[in-house]
Amino acid sequence: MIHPNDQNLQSYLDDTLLPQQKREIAKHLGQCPSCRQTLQIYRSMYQQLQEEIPDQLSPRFSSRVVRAVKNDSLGSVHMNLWHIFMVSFFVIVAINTALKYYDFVPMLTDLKTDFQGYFYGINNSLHDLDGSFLVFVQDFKLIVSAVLVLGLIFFIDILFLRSKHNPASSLR
Amino acid sequence: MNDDQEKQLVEKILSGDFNAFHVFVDQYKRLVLHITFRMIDNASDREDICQDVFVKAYNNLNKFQFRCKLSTWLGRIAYTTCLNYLEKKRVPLLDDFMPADLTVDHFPSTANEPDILVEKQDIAGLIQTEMKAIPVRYRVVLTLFHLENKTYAEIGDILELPEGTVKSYLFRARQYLKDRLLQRFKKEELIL
Repeated sequence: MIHPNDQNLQSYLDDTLLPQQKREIAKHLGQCPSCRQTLQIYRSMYQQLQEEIPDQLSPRFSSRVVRAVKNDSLGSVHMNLWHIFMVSFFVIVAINTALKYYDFVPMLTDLKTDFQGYFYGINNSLHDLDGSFLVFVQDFKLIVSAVLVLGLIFFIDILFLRSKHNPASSLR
Repeated sequence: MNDDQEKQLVEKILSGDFNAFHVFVDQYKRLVLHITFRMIDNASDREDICQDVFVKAYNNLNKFQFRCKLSTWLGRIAYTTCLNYLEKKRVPLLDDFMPADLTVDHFPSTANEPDILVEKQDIAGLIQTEMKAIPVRYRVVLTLFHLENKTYAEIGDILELPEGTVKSYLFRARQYLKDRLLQRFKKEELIL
């Protein structure tokens, strides 16, 4: 009589044997008290392994996790907004300071002269555009400020969308 | 929870619904606790590790592609988080049984003492104690199979092991536990 090994007995209990193997082992178990006893030991052990583990999480675990994720998420959004605010602030201050203390007109005039020296055709065009140059310099501040404000709105929008639709982006 | 329910839950969480995330945590905290309990001996760290697992899951939920069950994906995060913790604490993982494990008798045998009263609790207690003596991966395989009713393939996905290795771990761990029980108790006492 060939006794099934431990692996076969375990597979029998797990119900992972082929039908033929299962029938053979069932037949053997009907004739062999020793194997039946081993199978019973495994069966008892399986019952013990299915017993719930003694440790438990605190009753408010789920709420604690949600709170941690919320705080993490809000903290991250505030941090990003703060970074954007600071960068925008310094860019605006830098541009305004540059515009206030640096006269761009001579630079543009020099540029125009250079062009005059090299390209006659361009020279004519620049003469025609003299008035436009001045208007451009005057409006420069306004355009830069408008672009910065639009950029700021764009980044805030992206940031809020990301924090809403993509949890990963707002955390770590 | 079926596939459609999983998808709906994930979509709600991704749209910023924290109540849905609460449901997610309630649904899967048992699984995460089972893995953490089997891998981490320090009870005071377990709850923090469980929380860390869920924060990581929230963090990476947008990367979940529904190629496996949500529980399998979360189980993998729990397993990896625990492994990282153990590596950080320099706890040896002991990937395999030492050959001596099955012969060293660290419990005095009581099998020949006739007056001993064997209770179910004694056997359960011995199994719990012996569980701590076996390598971490074996413990997790046993827990996922018997407590979470996971298939070999699902356990393989969680532990990133081939199915054959999972089967082998499971058989060897159970045989080890059975031999340990037989060193401590008589055969008749083990049949409940």
